[in-house]
Amino acid sequence: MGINVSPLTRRQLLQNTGCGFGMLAFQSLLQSTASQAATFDKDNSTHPAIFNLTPKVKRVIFLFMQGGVSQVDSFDHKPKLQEFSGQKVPFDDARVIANTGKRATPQRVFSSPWKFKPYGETGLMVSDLFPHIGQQADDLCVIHSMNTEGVAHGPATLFLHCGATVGFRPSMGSWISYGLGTENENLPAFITISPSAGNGGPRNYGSGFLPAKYQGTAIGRTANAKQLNHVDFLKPNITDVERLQKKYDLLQAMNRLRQQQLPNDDEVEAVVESYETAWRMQHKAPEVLDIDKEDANTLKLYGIGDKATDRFGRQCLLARRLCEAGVRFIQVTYGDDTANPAWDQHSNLEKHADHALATDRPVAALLQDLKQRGLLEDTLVWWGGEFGRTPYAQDNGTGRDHNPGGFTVWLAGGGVKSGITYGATDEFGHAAIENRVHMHDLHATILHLMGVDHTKLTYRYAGRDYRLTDVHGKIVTDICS
Amino acid sequence: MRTVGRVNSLALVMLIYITGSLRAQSSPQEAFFESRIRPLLIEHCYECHSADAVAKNELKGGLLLDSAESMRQGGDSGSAIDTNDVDASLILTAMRYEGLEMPPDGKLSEQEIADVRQWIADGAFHSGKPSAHASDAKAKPNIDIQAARKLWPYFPLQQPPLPALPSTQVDQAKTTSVNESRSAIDYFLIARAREKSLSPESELEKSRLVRRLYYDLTGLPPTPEQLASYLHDIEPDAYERLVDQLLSSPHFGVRWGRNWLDIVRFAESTTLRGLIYTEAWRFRDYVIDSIQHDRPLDQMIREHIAGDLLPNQSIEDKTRGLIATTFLTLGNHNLEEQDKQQLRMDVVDEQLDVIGQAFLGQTLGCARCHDHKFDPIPTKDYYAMAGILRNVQTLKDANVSNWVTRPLPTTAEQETHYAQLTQQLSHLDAQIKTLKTELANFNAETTNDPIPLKRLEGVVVDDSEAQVVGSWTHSQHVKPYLGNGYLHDDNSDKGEKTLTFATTQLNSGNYEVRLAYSPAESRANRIQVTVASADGEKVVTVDQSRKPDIVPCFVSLGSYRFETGGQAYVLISTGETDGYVTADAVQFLPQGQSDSFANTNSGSNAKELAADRKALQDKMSQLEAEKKSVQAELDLRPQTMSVIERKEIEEPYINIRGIVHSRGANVNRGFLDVAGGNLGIDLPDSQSGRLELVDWLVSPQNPLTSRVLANRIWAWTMGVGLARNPDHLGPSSEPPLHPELIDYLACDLQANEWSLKKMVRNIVLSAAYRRRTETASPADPDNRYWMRGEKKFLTAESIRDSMLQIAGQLDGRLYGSELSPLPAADYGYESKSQRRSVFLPMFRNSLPKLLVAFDMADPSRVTGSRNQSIVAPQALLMLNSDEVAHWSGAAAKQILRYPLKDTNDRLDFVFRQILMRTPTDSERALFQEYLGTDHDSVDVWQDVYQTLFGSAEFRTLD
Repeated sequence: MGINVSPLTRRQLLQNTGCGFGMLAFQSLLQSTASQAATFDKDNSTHPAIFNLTPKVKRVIFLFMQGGVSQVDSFDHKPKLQEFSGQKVPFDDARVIANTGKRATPQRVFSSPWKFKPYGETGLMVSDLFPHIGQQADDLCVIHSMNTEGVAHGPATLFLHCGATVGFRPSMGSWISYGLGTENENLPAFITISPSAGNGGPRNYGSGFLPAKYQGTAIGRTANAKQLNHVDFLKPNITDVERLQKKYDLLQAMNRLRQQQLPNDDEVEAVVESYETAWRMQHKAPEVLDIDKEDANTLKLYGIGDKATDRFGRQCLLARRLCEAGVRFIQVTYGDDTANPAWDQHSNLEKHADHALATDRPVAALLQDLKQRGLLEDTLVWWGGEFGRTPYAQDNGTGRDHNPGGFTVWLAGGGVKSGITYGATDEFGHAAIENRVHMHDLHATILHLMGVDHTKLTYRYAGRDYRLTDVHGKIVTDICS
Repeated sequence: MRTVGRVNSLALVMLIYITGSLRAQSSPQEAFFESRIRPLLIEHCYECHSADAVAKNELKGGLLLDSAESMRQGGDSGSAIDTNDVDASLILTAMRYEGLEMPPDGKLSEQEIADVRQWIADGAFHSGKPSAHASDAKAKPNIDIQAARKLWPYFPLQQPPLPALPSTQVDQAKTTSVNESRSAIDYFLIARAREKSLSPESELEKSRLVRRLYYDLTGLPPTPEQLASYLHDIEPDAYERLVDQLLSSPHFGVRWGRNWLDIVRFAESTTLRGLIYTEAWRFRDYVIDSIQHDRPLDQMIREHIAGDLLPNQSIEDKTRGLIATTFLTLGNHNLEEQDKQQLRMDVVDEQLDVIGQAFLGQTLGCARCHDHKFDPIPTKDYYAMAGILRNVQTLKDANVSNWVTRPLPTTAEQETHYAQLTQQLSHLDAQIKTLKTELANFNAETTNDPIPLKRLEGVVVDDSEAQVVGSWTHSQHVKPYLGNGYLHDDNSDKGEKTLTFATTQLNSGNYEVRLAYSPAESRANRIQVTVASADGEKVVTVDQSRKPDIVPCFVSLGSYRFETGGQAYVLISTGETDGYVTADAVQFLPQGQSDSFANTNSGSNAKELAADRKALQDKMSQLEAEKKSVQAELDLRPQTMSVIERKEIEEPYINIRGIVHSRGANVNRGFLDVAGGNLGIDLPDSQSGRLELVDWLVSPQNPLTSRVLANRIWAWTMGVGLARNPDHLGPSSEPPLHPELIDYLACDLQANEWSLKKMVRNIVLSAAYRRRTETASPADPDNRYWMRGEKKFLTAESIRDSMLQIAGQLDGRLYGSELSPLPAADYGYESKSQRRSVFLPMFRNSLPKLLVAFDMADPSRVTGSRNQSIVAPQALLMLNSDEVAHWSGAAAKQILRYPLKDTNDRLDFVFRQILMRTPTDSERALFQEYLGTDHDSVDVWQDVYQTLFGSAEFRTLD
């Protein structure tokens, strides 16, 4: 977590930043040290190179469906599967190719056990797994032609978050936090709710080689259902307020005496400020994290109180509260710590229904709630997993394998066209063939929507200027409104 | 439903089509090109492969398609067209999505691809002319090695002369308490500062200096007694004696071992899957011990990279050498990378990256895909060095690859003993196998009744619960069977049928997985059985023509790890089998749980069991017990992570654009051209070349290694490097202001047999080290001239270790593993250890939170200088951490037991413990007020300790 900054890092930071971007990051640093929330508009005029256009959104909420939702059982309707169900058809299977180089191996087509029907004015085809999200069809921008890298969960999950399958790159939220600073001086710019410890774990919200202040702050852990709102070293309720206050006062008085002795010392000043911020956070954050103050209708909307939806409903509602509080990048994970997380139905595809039940209503509620509060206009909601699943069955006949070559994600909110679909997979829903959107392209597009040029958001490390999109990434302008 | 897509540039296509037809009179090839091919190129290819793309800096793969010449010339992957072998033309295979997939946003139609084929077959007519842009694009940035060799740090190392100083400044260069010695370091610094008319700050006061020295050399504060003893020592050589005392303290090894561990990215697990490197601690101990005993740094580098190949004689040396090679194995790899060729090169890349940064100060990794853009490192040099490491096996390939471990050397007697044990083990295995068959036969003869499932241990999935694909036949024909019968495939429709035995009942842990089947001669003998566990899928071959060897009718499929709620199934497929495939049940038996079935009589006909069956079982138990004890003894043999030389030594080749499957030109194994080339070292055909690599690295003629190490030691002692980025000394880094001082120190390092301690001693005895950090002069804000001390932060380890020491809770045990019992994965691991921080498990998914908050080194990367941040989470931690509160409380209880006469005395003591000074009057007043009348309250004193631990002054080292 990183919410305030040391002036000490300024020099280092400047040394590390490449090609003009340094000034921007520097600026946002200065602003936050001056205890002013860095806002978008301020930086625009001075840094046209980075801010190539007016930002369309201020915040991103990423609903991470860990394990890989099957596109052909959710949003990518393929009637052909019914027709060929049970028959063997040659497919380029990503795992087979990686292991053996063999292409076009025969695979048994596996039709979806769920029915699809059109929703909304746009007639978006959605399966029976997601009736609530279906109701929001007219607000969705559905991308059917996603493709990514990594056949296994670990690499693909790292790629999704950090744009690389290896382990030391900064996470997307860290890049955004580094580029845009924070909107709220009491809270970090990048928060991840119930992250998984597996498949890259903390790397997926780590700042990599960027300074530590840009790493994501974890609220709760996916394995810990009892402490959804736990933040390391933040006390949810202070039992002895008076003592803590006295101790804090003593500490700051001691630091101020030091400051008097060393009036020009940046470090002492930074320490004093870091305690002030921590103190404010200790007082404000528990309030933001306390969702039980929400009215009964809201709790009900998110499915809080119902066994199936309670947990993810709480996570989504917390996301909305953080969004209101000005957190820039909020990730909400639906997953677990295992090597075969949540949606990973290699066998028993029916289990998709359990996961859909747990998430459908809360996600739809989040969209509705953001909309009615006017937050959806400048917030981007992104729903998706690290890859999709094959339209054919695994040998066991009851599950689907990973499919990085074609899958669906959807976006909703500011900056993207609503009620559209973009791109397409082949007739079986396996490979993205039309208007393919690579994960790098999605990253580039999201940065673009936030007003940042992905080719210019760079950081010099080990002799290279790194960026989230490496040397790739094409903005999908067709989906931008 | 609106669908947004790419807008066809129909108008453009039409226009070209028309102009094309107009021209078509000249030749049919041209007409075909203009009408069918050119529009397609414009529409789908030119965005990335044309002169326009060059102009926009968007050219991809170095390939231009806007003239016949540039198409033949091709890009990084070679020529785009081949008119002799049309179907091998790269452009065609790419359009067919065989290998490359072009255009990337969607495959062309069959007709379009056929057109392109036709066009190439007809000679690939192209009306375009090579553009000026095109030649620009092809002109690769030329690296001028000869010119670069004249630049620092690549020119040969030579002892620079001491700068001459006027006599008054000689005094400044003299250190005050060691007035006989004139530190060469100070000569270089003062001479350069003179150019700017800068003058040095005075020496830091004694009590501050002693704090600086203790932390820099041992990472711990002096105790109040140690502080007092130094302050009372008025001999002129007091400082020098303290330096020598601290250099020989075991805590020097701890503190400086940690520095070294930072640059060799020491870690004890992988990020992906959280797999634990159970033996990595040996390497950590080796580093600390080597630093403590001042093992020459060149020798350490030799051992790190080639310790297993060195001509070591004694068992200690051999052991140390082998453990040191753990260095090569610690990378944070993606072990489940399915493309093992890719993984092999990724491992090499990581090793090269670490060796490059840690010892050569070069970012070699940049040259994997293309010549280095800033530094004089061509791609061929990268692959020359990669070629050495490519001949070394670091991982054993598997679905999830595994690292290599090797047994530690031991005495000849012990080696013989272990060999005997191994032999004994295989002998026992053979005996057990025979006996199992006997028992199985016996069972078959004596117990033909169906066996109820409830008599089996663990989780049993019967064939009646299996998920069935294709048609399977239920049977009770062959006895005995489990439950109500078994299934067989009728020996028909091979490859169309599967059975899946899945369960959701397993808890996290290891299980033996067993398959029960119905044996007979007519059964298939090569049945592929897939076991899906937490570690992926493994295929086992089962021969059902043989009798199963575990009573009542099981074979073992091996031992596997499962996770609660994770995948757990056994899949039987009939593909490519010859004979009947049967399946009766699958048993998941928790490891360590005894299999009661095997050891008890089988129920109903218990009475009929003959005594010889009992005898067989007794014999079996006895053999298994023997096996267990032999295995246990073998398991005690210590292992270490290491590497193995590959049997076939291959010469390397360039991977075009770093793509493993894209083979480019052959290169010879070798070293960096810019750093003197091979320095007369030849690479052998019979070995990887690691021995030669280390010879080259530490050769006195190698201009980089000693410079890099000298600069690192300076940075570790003084706070910042003379060259500011110690991991990167290339021309693209900020050039050092004192290159000749680095050269002097590098020569000194070599002359002193690469002794770390001698160099540290020289530096801390210099006047430069002892100066105060404050200055009134604004002339050199960044302290580039070293006329004052550099303000430092306590390291994360020092913060934690100080609190532990002051609280009287520091567990002083050095060396040895903390990992007992071993966790299955590193997720969520929290250590309760109170040892010095360097001994905490360095798990990549569960790094100690306190250390992370205070900028410990990222254990996946080379870290020559750590981040220094002051952020709110640190403040939150110091206010709210239970650990900090606990240590403060322990310190409070301790001070209340001490015979100190009053509150003032106690305050003096606490301040001395933490800040090495007594409180000022205002501080005293402040704390007195806080203490109030409650002088003996643990709680209040706990707050006092916690306040000082949280103070700005504690965290900084002036």
